Amino acid sequence: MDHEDILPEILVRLSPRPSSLLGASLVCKRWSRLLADPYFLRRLRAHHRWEIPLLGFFTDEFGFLHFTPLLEPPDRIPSERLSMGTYHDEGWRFHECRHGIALLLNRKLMELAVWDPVTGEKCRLAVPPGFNGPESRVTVRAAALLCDDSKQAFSVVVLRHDEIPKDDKPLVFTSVYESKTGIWGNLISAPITSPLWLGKPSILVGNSLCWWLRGYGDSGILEFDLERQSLVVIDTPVDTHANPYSSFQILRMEDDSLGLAILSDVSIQLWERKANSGGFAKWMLHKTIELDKLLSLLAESTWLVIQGYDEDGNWIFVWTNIGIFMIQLESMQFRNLFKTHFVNNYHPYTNFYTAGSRIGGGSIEAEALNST
Amino acid sequence: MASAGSGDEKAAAAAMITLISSDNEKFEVTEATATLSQTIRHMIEDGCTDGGVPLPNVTSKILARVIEYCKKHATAAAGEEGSSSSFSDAAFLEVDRAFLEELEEFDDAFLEVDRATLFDLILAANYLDIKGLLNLTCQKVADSVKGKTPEQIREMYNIVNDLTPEEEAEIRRETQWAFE
Repeated sequence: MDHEDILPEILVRLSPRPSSLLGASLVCKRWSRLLADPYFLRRLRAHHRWEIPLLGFFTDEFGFLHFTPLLEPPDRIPSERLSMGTYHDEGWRFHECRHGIALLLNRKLMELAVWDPVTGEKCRLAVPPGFNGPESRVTVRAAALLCDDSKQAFSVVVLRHDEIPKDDKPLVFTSVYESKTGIWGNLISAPITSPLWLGKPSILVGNSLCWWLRGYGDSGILEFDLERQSLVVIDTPVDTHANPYSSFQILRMEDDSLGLAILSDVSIQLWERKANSGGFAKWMLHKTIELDKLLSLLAESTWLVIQGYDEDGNWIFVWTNIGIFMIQLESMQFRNLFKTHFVNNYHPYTNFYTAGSRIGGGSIEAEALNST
Repeated sequence: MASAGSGDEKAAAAAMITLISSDNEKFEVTEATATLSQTIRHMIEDGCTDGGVPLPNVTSKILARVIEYCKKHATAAAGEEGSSSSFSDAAFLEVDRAFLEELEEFDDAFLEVDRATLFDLILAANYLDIKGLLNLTCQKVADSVKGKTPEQIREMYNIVNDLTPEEEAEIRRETQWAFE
């Protein structure tokens, strides 16, 4: 194992679970350094693309950012390790997380923070002018975070829109911050007819970030193409089982196509947007899941709501009166997490958990945070 | 560049390449077998295989094993391609499954080697850029440390612990929960 070239080849094939990576970090300096190296972690991510462990999830609970672990010992990260106590007093709210880092928004200070829960490092940036006003049409409505895999950098996307239906021809606006340059980009806009769902995380599908637009009869999906830097509104499927009480969740389907889950009463329709031979994309019903049968819900458990989604592992979080269920949408594997009366947003947290970053000099996230 | 052309594929497949180990032993292999190695494939494409391909990093003992692996996997690949047109779908799937099972058995048996040989195979697979063999052998090593403590891993692979007590304590303190 003394050969320089082959150690990464071997360690990249280790089980990506926390206990396995932490144990390996304690073998010697070389192993420890490699397991903290940003390039190596990127390879680890690519190699284990579908098995990056879902460590747990974050919830914002009455002024406390709470982490609930999902793995069993020895991989079970204690709640205290990643929870954060004081952040709420200062006005911070958890917005979303992706690639192991989280985006927090503070409306009091009009600041965003990119936060690495594992190292605790935080990079704060001001919400750009035009998005930081007191009026609803000039305040940030949604935001998204991206960590570029090929470069050690992150991007933050913010969105605002005109007042609907007060404004005549309402527009939605976005601006993108690149940590590489440290500046916010030009405004990009598109016409819009329904408002963004405040506080709902974005979903990354292929090269686009997507947000749900909740209209009354004219809902849509706002898509921001990161490559083309363009904003468009995508129509939602017709002839669905949606009713006024339905809940919706944008999905990333297996082949990186756009999907939509519609939960009405006790069943979920999964729709997939597929391009036909002519190049036109069309919504197709992928499947219907009868949750009452799957989860053995009683007939009187009437109200179910989607409260979270893990875009990497395709797990959906559904609140029911007998507990919060997480359901894997392909395998139909499910788990009843706990019973709660409090309907909350669940932010699944996927990451590798390695030690040694203090010795080897920074994880990919830490470096990204330091670079600004 | 003659062999890179799309003309007569059968002739290309039957073309023979000579591989020369570090201890000067010569191995005649078909081009189909040799090109499982990306390194050799590039040499063939560049037309620099006349007079044999010297492999100064690979001993005859290891090269013989590597060729054994490549022959088996090249045959399997050719078998799959050939069978698709001459069998019905069901029969094709049956043959396909049989091939895969046979290949898995071969791989398992292939990995029954001592640790030194396993590492020599990894180095050869890395140098010759044979993806399947590199994956197979490295995965074997990675699996071998599964569930092992850092001490057990060091003992298995003769690794000296050069972490300072402070560094080790720091990692353990940060992640105490994982080692309870």
